[in-house]
Amino acid sequence: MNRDENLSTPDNTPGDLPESGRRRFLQLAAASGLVLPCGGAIAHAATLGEAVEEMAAGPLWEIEAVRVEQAFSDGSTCPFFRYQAMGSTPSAGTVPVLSGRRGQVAQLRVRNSLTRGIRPTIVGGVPGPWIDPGTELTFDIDVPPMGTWMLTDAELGDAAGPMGLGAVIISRLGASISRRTLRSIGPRYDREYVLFYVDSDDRWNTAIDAGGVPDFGVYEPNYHTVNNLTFPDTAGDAGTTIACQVGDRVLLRMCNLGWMRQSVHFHGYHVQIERINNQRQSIYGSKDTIPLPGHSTMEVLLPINQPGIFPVHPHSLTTTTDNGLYIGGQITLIVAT
Amino acid sequence: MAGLGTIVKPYYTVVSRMSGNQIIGGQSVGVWYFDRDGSNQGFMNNRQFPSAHLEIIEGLPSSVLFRNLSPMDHTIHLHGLDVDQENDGVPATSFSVPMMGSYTYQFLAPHAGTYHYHCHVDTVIHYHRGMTGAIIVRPSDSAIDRAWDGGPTFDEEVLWHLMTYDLNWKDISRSGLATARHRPGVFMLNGFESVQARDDLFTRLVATVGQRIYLRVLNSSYQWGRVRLAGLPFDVVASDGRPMRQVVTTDSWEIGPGERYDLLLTPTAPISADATVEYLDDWTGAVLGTAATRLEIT
Repeated sequence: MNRDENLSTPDNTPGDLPESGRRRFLQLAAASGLVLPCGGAIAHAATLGEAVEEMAAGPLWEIEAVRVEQAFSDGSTCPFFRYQAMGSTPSAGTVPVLSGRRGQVAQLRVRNSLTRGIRPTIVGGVPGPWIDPGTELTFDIDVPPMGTWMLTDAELGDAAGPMGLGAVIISRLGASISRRTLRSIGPRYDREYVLFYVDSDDRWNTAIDAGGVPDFGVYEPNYHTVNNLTFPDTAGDAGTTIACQVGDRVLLRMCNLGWMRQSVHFHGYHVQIERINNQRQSIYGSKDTIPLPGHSTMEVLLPINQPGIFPVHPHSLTTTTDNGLYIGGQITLIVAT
Repeated sequence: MAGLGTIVKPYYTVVSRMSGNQIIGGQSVGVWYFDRDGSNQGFMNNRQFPSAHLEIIEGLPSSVLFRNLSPMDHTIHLHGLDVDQENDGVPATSFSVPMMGSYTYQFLAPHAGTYHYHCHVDTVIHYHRGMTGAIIVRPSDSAIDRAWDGGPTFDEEVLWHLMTYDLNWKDISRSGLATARHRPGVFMLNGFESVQARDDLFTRLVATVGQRIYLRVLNSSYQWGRVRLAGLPFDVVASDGRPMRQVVTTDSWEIGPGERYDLLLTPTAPISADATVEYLDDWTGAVLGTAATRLEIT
């Protein structure tokens, strides 16, 4: 910290700013009822989904489709349809994380608590079975090839993303291969996190929630969530704040169920894009701002080479607001100790 | 070199101004910007929108003395320079500089390449109003005709800021419901619409056959931009201050908000045509608007 000439009042000197800035951040966290995750989050990240993967017969994934009226920092609310985890199924924020090994057959148990039917479907896959409102169905689903996938709803079609109806599927290497390895031959990682982006136009969500049809010709999202949360709630969630240690290599499984083409900026670090839509990429070098198309997934390695607290956020900056009010939206934090 | 390479040094004074003015979409618009060394001008000491650019030297300890001579808190976020938390310029995790205050951001200049800086206070507004500029990191020997140590050389060099503007936001000083949706009606290069950008000394691409033009593109808009150089093939050689793992040869390239790409054009025949940036709608992919400048190869 360097002190320069100060033209302000003594109580507001630049020399005091970093500390007061930290205090302000902590006050913000406290006012929001937040506890910044640290060791607990690291434990969470290290065990994400691993218990269910150990089941040789294949995992049981349990989720429920529910309606949520989410409140935002500007005082507004917006309806969403969401999958939420049941039983021992883990989640990041409130997004279920369904983890298995390639070649396994998972059992997917879905309780549909919506007032409309759904077809749980892997993005890019064939539509799943119809599930009537108010019923529950358990069916087999092949764990897809190794990588990061999204589960959504074929019945809502293009509107499933803005409505937020999604979950993440992680498919890992076979049991004979070291767990924290992206491919059969490296690279290895120390921790992993899921960041699940959704953008929503409240006019779409309100129309669909009322049983109507939105104007599909106009889509101007005004709510932006990551793991179904907005900042600063993202900073209080152990599955969304990227807690790590200097020297770690962190795998980020980035999923964009929205329709906005995101370009996500990392403060403090350059990252390496490993795969886009589960295809290995060989074009990009290290980047600090990465392209994440709509309805796509990306696996990114984040080398932690300095300590500190650094934001991660898309750079189309309306995404860092709640219905226009900064600061909110799709900001989350890297907390490196 | 179109205004580049004239001042290369490891330290700058940057002053925030909230009293600028520029014609945008045919209207006189109040703009906010950062000047360089108290010049009271922004981009290329020629206009107040966008902000001035800075050129520093790879590997050297560098500093930006920021003087906030405007009536709001501001910061300088050194986008892509991977600075430490104290110097990251984010109020929520470090601090903002109050009105009439100052602070010296200190950092080690990283790998040579194209970077970015901007205010991170109420970012959705301050960025849109013009508090956004470029940082070029020169190779360790300060060369201004080579991209990085061991990297490609060039004869001409041009910097493009991709910019869009929503005139409904022009008088807004604080984010809120009115800034929930960005509906750009003005599409620019370096703060100019096509009618001015076509002949703008700092924007147009002028060279002779066989010369190599190094085009540094920073997308400081809220939309994706698609760059076309009149159909000529070019090489995408670097992004975000690092070489591409694999050079891509193409005739169009799409750039997301906050990204930077360095493009190398080596024309093989004379041409007089428009080089363009098409700004794209996220949902439909449709072209919302285009900004153009001249590509003159003799």
